[in-house]
Amino acid sequence: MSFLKTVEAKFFHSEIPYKPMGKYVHFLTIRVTESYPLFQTDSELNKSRVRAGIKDKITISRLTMFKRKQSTPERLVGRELLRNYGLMSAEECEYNVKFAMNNPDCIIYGFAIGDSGSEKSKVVVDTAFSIKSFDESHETFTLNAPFENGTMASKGENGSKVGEVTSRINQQDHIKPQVFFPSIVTLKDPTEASFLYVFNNILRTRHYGAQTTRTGRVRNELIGVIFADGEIVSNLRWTQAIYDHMKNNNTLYSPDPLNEDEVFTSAKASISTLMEDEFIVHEDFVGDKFAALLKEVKSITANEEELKKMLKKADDEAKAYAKVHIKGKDKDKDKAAAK
Amino acid sequence: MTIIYRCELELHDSLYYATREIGRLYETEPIIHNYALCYALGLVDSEKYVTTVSEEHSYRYFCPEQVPKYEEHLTPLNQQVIYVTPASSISHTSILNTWKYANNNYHVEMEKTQKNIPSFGRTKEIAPESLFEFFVISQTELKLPKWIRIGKWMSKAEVTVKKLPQPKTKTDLFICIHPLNPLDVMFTNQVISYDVVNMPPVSLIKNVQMRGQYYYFDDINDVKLPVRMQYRFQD
Repeated sequence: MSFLKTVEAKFFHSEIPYKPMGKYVHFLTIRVTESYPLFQTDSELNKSRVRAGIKDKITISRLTMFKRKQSTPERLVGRELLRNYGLMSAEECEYNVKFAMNNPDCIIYGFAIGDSGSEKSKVVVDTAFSIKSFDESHETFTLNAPFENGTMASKGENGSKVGEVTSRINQQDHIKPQVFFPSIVTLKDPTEASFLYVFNNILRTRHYGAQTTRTGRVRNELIGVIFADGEIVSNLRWTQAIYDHMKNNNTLYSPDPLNEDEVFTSAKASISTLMEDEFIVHEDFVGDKFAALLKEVKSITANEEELKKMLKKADDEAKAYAKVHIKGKDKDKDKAAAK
Repeated sequence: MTIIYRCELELHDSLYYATREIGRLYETEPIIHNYALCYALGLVDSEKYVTTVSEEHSYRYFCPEQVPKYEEHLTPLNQQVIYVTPASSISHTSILNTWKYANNNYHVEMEKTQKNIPSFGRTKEIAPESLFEFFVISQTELKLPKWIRIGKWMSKAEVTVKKLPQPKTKTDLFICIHPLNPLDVMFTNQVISYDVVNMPPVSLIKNVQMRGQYYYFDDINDVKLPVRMQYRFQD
């Protein structure tokens, strides 16, 4: 059963291979903040000092989106769907608690369980860097937790002294809306179903970063897909190329946010230039060619019957793979039985 | 004919592996082990480099146990006479990161806590745009990948390969300023003095003064590498 007509079958495996076979698909995404997300450790936004562009060699601080902070929400979206359509139960597989080791999430995104072995992730995501510098991409908010009457002064709630001013006040840096993070998601050794599974997860994920903040809305804009027989350019290099391109075209408005259309134009132009320097075999779906593919993928993921079929196919493949290649548990059982 | 490639590795993401564990601090030493480089460069169990290993030890997506198979994986490289030296830093900066158990690959079930606070540790990582250098010695022309992934986070790095001119050899007392794997040199060269870089699984040595046969170049003064390095394990 095949789902796609715009992509040749040669880019996919017919079943999930047990060892790396050198087929790669790279999803080119631009992650756009639409609200005020938080990517932080140590109560400070994550950032990194790197060169501004490839040509522009000055060093700037960029906001960073660490890899797992991108892949975790995406895999959770996929898990949600698997549960919704009855392909996985909450009891048999819980993220980071108990992995069932036989569903698309476990096989495609990997797992590690001390004594039962580990499955290497076939999805690899790299740290993404903001196009513009940290100073232009964040805002400091003062947070307070006022009483119900809206003031900071107590009216005697919970036994407090009347008129006492609360000290519940704090400051927190937030990432601004309209900050752009070019990010390439790599899927190794895809089958058609696992390609669609990952594609769908990227398209559907809308929230990244600290989940408790309720402000982490991020939109994924896909600008292309590249099938190749190896790794392609890094997020950092792509971001730097976009920066150079935008600087050349005078589209880096300071201190205003970037224009989305101009970002996509520069992103497409710079990835095409960068791919010319690669010495691997690759077929690029960017521009019109990608538009056709995206339309086809969306017609599958937005149609319940088609989506169910796709998830079922991915699940069947994962089960078949687990049965043949993941023997850890059974072996242990056999050993125990032998004793 | 011996070909020596001088390779530069530029990090495009932060690099982390635990060279040392000091309580909850995990430190990354700015030196990359040659075993790790062999895997990262795709030299292990590869049809392209004629280093395929037996089915039983083949490099797979699923690992039933966390036991390294360096001997099974690296011995085929000796047969092809391909050797990779450890990489040392040309320039680097470090960053400290905090991680939580909640989203760590090496997952540990959290103890029940009363408060919603995660367990955590800190990692000292090598920052993006840091530069490393290593050498690949081979008897045949090799086409190495441009982009590789390295460390526990599978961080992307760019490899720039420069083929050096035909090396000359000489037997004498010499100093190798590049880091070496002691297991791979001490059986063919007389190692006199060195500095140790402590790291598992085999600590490395640098600034090594030794006696034996070595490669050198007329126009490149800083490169002197011992001849006949190969992966050695307990016999």
